[in-house]
Amino acid sequence: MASEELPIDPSLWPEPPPKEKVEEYLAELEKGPWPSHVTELKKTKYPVYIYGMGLVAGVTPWATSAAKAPGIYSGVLSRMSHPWTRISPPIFEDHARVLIPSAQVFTTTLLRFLIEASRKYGWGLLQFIGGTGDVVLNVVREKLIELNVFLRRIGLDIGGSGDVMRNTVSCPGPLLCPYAVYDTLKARDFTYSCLIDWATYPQFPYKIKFKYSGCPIDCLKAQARADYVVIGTWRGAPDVDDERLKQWIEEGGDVEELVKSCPTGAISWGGSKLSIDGSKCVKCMECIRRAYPAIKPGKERGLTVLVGGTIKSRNGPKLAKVLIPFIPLPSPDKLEEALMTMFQIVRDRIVPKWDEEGWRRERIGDTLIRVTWHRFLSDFAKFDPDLASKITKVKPTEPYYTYGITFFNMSDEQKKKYLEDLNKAMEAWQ
Amino acid sequence: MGDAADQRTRIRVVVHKLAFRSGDLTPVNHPEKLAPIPYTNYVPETLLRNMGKWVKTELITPAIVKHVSETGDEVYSVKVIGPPNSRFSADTLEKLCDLADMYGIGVIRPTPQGNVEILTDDEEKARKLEEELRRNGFLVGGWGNHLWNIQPCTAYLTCTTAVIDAPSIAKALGDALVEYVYEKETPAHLSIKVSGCPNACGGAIDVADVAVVGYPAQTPMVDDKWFSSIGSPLDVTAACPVGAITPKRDPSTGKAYGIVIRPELCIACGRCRDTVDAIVYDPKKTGVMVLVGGKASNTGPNGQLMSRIVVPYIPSEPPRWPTLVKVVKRIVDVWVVNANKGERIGDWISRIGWDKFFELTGLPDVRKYLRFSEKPGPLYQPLYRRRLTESYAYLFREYASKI
Ligand code: SF4
Ligand code: SF4
Ligand code: SF4
Ligand code: SF4
Repeated sequence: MASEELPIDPSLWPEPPPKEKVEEYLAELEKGPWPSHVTELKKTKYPVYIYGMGLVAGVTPWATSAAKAPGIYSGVLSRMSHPWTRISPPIFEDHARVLIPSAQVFTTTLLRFLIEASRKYGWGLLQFIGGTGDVVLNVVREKLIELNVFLRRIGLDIGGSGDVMRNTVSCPGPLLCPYAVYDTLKARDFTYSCLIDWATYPQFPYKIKFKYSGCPIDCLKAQARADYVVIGTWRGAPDVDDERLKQWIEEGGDVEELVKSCPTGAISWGGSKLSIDGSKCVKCMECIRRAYPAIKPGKERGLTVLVGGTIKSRNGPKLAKVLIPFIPLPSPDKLEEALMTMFQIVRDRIVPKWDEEGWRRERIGDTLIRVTWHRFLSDFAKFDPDLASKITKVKPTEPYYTYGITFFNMSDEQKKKYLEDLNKAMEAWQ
Repeated sequence: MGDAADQRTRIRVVVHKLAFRSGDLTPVNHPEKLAPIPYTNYVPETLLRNMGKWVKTELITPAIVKHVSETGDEVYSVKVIGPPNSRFSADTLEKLCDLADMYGIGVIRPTPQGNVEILTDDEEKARKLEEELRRNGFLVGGWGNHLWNIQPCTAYLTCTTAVIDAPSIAKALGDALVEYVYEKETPAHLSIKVSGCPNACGGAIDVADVAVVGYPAQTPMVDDKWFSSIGSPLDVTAACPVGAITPKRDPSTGKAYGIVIRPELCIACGRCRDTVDAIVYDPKKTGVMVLVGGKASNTGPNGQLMSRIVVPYIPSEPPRWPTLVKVVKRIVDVWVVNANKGERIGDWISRIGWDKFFELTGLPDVRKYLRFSEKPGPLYQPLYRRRLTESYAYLFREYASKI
């Protein structure tokens, strides 16, 4: 294709690299003991050569495109080969995010259907699963609607992109893990049953994510990634079962170590009885992990709700803040009620206000920084003003000012100096 | 292979659901998403009857974890490390399905980290499964104190905003660190995240043990020609967090038709590029930074920790990234030798301090090259009260009725 026909300014973009170079780079990535994505992609219809072109050029080979999919308002993303690759006609790459079962439990039956779908409507390629918690399925553009119907028939659906409520993710919780304080899978299912229109139509300033972690270990890293985070917790001391503790000690459990391992010194051992000072316990799970099931999360269980964690966003990555420290969960069957307490605040107060005041592409975590935490609590969450000021005034018990991640523009000299020093250091490692 | 009918009865719900979701499911006629089917309908009986009853988790081999329920049931979870970016071909997944049916209870759990867990109910079968997986060329391991996985984002595989490629980094790092998956132990859990740009789809860079993040390391250029056909000057201007972008306006009409970026303000965050494709990086200047020491778990003496930048810039070197690989391997090796058992990288550094970290690794001290502000500015977030005390919780109880 002559450069005049290109929509881009060719002087700023790379030339398509020579074929041998592309093949050499791809071959490099098939060597070594770690599983290779290139080897895997070669078993599919994915145009791996384009990926190789990108590698050699050091520039992504994909540009934005749009697929027509009447009735599908979220969940489909489209790309085309970048104009600089000069591939003519362009190759289109469309993929659908598939909302999958809670806690990613796939029966092989269901998975075989999904495999069939990817062969029939796509490239025989799946991302199983992406960081967002959905399966990403490459699909041939003309077959999008057919794919969606097929997926719906087997009990799944496409969704979770754009300014909607994204895929809600839960940790495996009670399904496989002993520590879960509440049923995270049920919480996820319940979220969808309450907020399905949020998942359907893009209607917000930016995306919304809920994540459910069953205990303070937070395997999902939910507090770093989700707007609304629910973490299982308890009040007071962990629950000690003396009988089982005795057994644990007989089996070689080291009580001294256990006492020492508590970061706040909440545990004491009187020679025959373990006592834990609930007012000191910070729910670090250390004793529980060591001596489960002799020590379990406390009896007075509940949920902590945090707000505003993000990775990508205007103000850089940030961890979520505690919005509601404790929603009591007196028994497992009260989970829906407890969640409803949160949904009422999120659905009826915070999100409508965010809709009004949020800037475009501003996650709730960025909004709360812009409007300040105090105003967020009183105007968005609509807490009692008295409570809001008390919360803002509570002094951190730990001096927990930590740096966020910054971005910076190093000058060429700075880079050169750094790399010289790095190279010197690296010689010493040999 | 287990017979299909038998399989299907076990997964009652798929059958049920297939029956349920009949009729017209075309999106135009029914645009509302269909909520996931409640889990009780498809989770196999073995798991369902033990929900919330697990009492013990035990490591059998670095690839097998045993879950014991108080009912006496046992479930074994065999872990397979997936290819970078969890890109599985249909053929490979089918192979896994066959193995899961043959040796397991027909359940496969993919994890966001890019691993696949296959469940079975018998230790001997679990061991056979591990063997069989290995024989079929899968990489198994990564439970307990090992490298759990390296999770890259999509980057050049499909992403339009990528600065550098991530899956190739994951592959190169994996080849260098593969021994920590099974043969060699690490002091504690280790997971590595790789992202092609500061958007960090590869996983939370702020709470990763080790994170590699691609970034422009330059003020981007604007492709004016392309911008005039696809760009919206005001959207891009609004996207910049530091106000480095100003619209170019037609003097006669005042209408914005393009943009100018002021290099003295730009912090190379890449957010303008998220908004429009017509922003260009010079590939000779792009690079990666390395962050270490973050964690989201409330565990250890420190609770949650945010990662810090320890290597500000390494130029991009696809496809094998030799400098980056050496640096990351160095950090991991030094941690493995020096940390106490159970100490994640963040907890280890908190104990020894950053000075010691740079001394032990021999990396140039990044603080000499870049000044990090002490005060929380727009890109620094203070973390208030990560660890809740009881008094805070009780403060709420007083007001519970008013929330
Ligand atoms: S977050 Fe807690 S309950 Fe959930 S899987 Fe992790 S350890 Fe288990
Ligand atoms: S959970 Fe942590 S803080 Fe609480 S008693 Fe146990 S070890 Fe101590
Ligand atoms: S982190 Fe950046 S490069 Fe990677 S997938 Fe996300 S937007 Fe693309
Ligand atoms: S890279 Fe970031 S700071 Fe620089 S112009 Fe773009 S949006 Fe602004």
